[in-house]
Amino acid sequence: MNIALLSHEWLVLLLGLGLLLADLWLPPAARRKLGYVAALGVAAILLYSILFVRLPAGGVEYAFGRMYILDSLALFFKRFFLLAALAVLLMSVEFAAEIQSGLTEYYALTLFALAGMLFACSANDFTLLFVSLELITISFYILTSFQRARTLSLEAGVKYLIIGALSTSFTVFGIALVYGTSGKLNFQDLAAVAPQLIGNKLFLFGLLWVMVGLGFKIAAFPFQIWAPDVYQGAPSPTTAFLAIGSKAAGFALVLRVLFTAVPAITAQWSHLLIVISAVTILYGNLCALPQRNVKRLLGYSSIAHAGYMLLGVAALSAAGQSAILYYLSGYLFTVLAAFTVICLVMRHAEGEDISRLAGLNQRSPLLAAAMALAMVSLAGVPPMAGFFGKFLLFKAALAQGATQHGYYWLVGIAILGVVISLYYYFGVIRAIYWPGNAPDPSPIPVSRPILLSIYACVAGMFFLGLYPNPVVTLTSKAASALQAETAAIHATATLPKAPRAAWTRSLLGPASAAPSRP
Amino acid sequence: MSVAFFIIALLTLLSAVAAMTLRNLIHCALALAFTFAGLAAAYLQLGAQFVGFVQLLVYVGAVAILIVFAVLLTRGREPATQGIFSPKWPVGAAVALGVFGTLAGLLLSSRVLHHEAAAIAQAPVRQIGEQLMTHYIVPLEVLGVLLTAALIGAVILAMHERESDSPPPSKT
Amino acid sequence: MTPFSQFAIFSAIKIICVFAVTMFIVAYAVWVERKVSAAIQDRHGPNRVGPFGLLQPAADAVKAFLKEDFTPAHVRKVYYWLAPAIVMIPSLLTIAIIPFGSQLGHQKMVIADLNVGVLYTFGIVSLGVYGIVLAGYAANSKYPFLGGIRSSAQLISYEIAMGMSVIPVFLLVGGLNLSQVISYQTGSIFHWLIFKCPLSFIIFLVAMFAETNRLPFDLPESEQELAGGYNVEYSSIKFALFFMGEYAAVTAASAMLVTLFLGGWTLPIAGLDRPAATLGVGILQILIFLAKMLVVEFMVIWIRWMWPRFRYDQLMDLGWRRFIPLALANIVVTALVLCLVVK
Repeated sequence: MNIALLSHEWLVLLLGLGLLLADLWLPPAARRKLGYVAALGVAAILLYSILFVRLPAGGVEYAFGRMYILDSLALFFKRFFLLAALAVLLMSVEFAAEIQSGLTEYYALTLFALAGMLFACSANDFTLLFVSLELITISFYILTSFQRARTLSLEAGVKYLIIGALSTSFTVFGIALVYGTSGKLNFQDLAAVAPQLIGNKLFLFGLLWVMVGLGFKIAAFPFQIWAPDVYQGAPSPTTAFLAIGSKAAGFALVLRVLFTAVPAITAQWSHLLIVISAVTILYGNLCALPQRNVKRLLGYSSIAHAGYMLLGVAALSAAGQSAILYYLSGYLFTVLAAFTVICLVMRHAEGEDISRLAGLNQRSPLLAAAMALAMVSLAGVPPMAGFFGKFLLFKAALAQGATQHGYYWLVGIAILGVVISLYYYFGVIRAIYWPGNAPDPSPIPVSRPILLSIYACVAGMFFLGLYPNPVVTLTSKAASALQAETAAIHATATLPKAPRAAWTRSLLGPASAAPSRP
Repeated sequence: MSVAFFIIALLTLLSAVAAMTLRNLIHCALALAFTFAGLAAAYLQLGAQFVGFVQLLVYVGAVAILIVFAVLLTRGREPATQGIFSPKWPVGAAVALGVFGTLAGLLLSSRVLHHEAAAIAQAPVRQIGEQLMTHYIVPLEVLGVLLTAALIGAVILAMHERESDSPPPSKT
Repeated sequence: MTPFSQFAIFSAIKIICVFAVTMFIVAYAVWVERKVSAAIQDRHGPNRVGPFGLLQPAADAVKAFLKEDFTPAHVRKVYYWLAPAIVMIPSLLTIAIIPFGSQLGHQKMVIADLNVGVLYTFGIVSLGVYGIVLAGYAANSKYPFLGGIRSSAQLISYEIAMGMSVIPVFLLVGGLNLSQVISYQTGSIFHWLIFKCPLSFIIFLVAMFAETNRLPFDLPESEQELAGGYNVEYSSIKFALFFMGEYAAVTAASAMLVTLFLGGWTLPIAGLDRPAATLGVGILQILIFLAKMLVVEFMVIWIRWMWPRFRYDQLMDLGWRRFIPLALANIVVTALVLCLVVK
């Protein structure tokens, strides 16, 4: 057993606990600096991860009875989360004045949520999946309602708590059904027995409920109901972390469960995934149209983006999975840039109405440019990251179109979604550059770390849009880890041929139409 | 399936329904405690002594009593004056019934009911402890962090604001 | 006779005997309490009913039953009736798993020899809070309510310390079964766990006072500030049940303390630490257990009259900021020592 395998997680946890202890002993004036300490710590861990963490020759390592897995996918996500947390922590320091009490706890809880994400992307067992998901969610319940003086923040916290608790109960019930029918919790063990359980409706129902719980995390239709309210009410740094970290953790787990644990069953769920993806895209984009609150708008847009990424899941191919990872990378820089700007411009304002962006170009040309570029990237206009990500996703889906025509429809709907989204994203850009009367024409001071963070985000957006090759190599390698593990399982277990989407029919149709159980 | 099981199940379900529908929060909390105790009894009946008594200790003895405590310390002594059901409750009930029906149907149609009841495995406490400290150590540690986060969060959310402009939290 | 009916009959006999002895001890604990307090305060104590007032408990019982059972109009009836019973039950249930002797014939002298032993005890003990909280809530007036709230906070806090304090014991013994705990303590007096885990013993002892609402931790009823606390609205036999519940809890806790730390029914002389071969030795071992238990109980009573009451914040401070960290450290140190010794 190699304790160094879990080094990311331990280091982040130690950093979080260290911050809490430091808060106890430091004088109040020094505590203000703890946010920078946290950010520096995360940066150091990221650096350590890139410089020193190497995968062994086989590309995969397990720990604790295959409970924990470290492969290129896990490593990709770990660095992804560390990067996201770094920007979020810098943002939090700017936001500190808005948090009345418990500032250090805010940083510590952000780190705990980060630790949860790090564990989640290495989960190779339903037990670890559940507890790490819960760690993320519980931390976010608190982070969301951190501004107790704001009713909106409290409302967001309560809504997230109630809906999150509901989704948790779905997950845990689903896991119980999966375990009850298969007797396995480990993903590889499950993959070995899953082909025999294709006809077991209880097993399928359990899996479906696990997916419901994960659907809440990524805000896919019909489990998206919480997103706009929570995005709007939560403190801006938390919203950013929720938008990027929580969603990416959800996708990491979706990929693991669907393609490592039950690939045999996922292969039959393409209809379901196509429908969910299409509806999510349409819902997110259509609902975003009338929004005037920027954070709420981004909440709906995040639903739409979950839909685009589900398109990569529905494609059921390595190219699709790699495209999801690429899309997430682009989304990371884009969303962080957008929320950093929102955080700086609107931190003192009670409402985040789009009109508050008016005259931003005069107040701070840099922030205006960053926000505009982020919107362009979210809309998927070349040459930004968002464009190339969507391109890869659509390509992966079209490649599967030969097997099933649904994919053509799905890509059509997705393109329609992109066209709709142009309207509201450009509404934001218009507000920035339209020579309106700015509510507060004073220039916005930008601190040096934030400047750095914004430059990095903009650079990332351009880099991923213009020069995709290095990251494509990285993501396809990460996705291939998933494929390699799947292939290893396919080699050991022979798949019985079952009709496509047999399970939906058997659930809806009369009992006699059900396929015979093996 | 013994008579004892049906009695326990009936009492558990009834108290769960009571916990949802009663107007007085104290009664709800006590009904919830009773539900937890019923579950503990069900575990004991299945021969899972460890889980049964842990359920009793943690849920009845700690979680439920903390809920009662919190309700007593806040405003729980006056029953709600207006209805506690949302006007759309039939929709919720229909969804719940639908889910129940589906699950029940699936259970009845599956092979689960035709299985021979497995012999009751007596897991000694030592074995449970060893498993927790080896195979399940990572989830256990994550749970530790989770509880720490929840504890900090509870304190943060319940703490008095230092600023005077914020509304004072409700206190007894 | 089938093994099952044999088991049922013997269990019934054991339950009846243990219950009778416990109730006897509870009754006379009250008498001892009054006598001890009188001696400490330079008075005579009860001396009218029977020689040395020995029949006083019987007289008290008759009084409690014959008094008018008055139910105030403003109470919540169901809970008001339920609470005294709930106070009494957990203490009696805890006694069920305590081995009060080795064996008589082939019968083990314990009602239920559970593998999860102590988990059962803590599970049941934690239910005791409900009785007091319900009594406070049912009374529907402020002093009992305050008493109930105080009590639930106190009991929950000290339950944690108490639970943690015994973990080192089970690390040493290697199981939760109480018979196992006792057989671990045989051989020499220094095998008694009071010498092996002195810190556990101290924390357990203190937590025991808090759990049984005895002075110096009798905050829930503190007579001067709360006019008696959660049981203000009670009279006659219902009040007596609260009273007996307290002494039953003390008895159960003393029995637990003896089992966990003082060697249970064993004495490390004359082979008394081995399961009895003859009936006489078996009875002697039961008497040893009772003697140890009564000594502990006497000490509990004695302490009540020698110590002032803690303030509420001091009580909480002691529980949360002293004992719980101490108990945690105790667990870690014991585990480390065991790990190093075993390796």
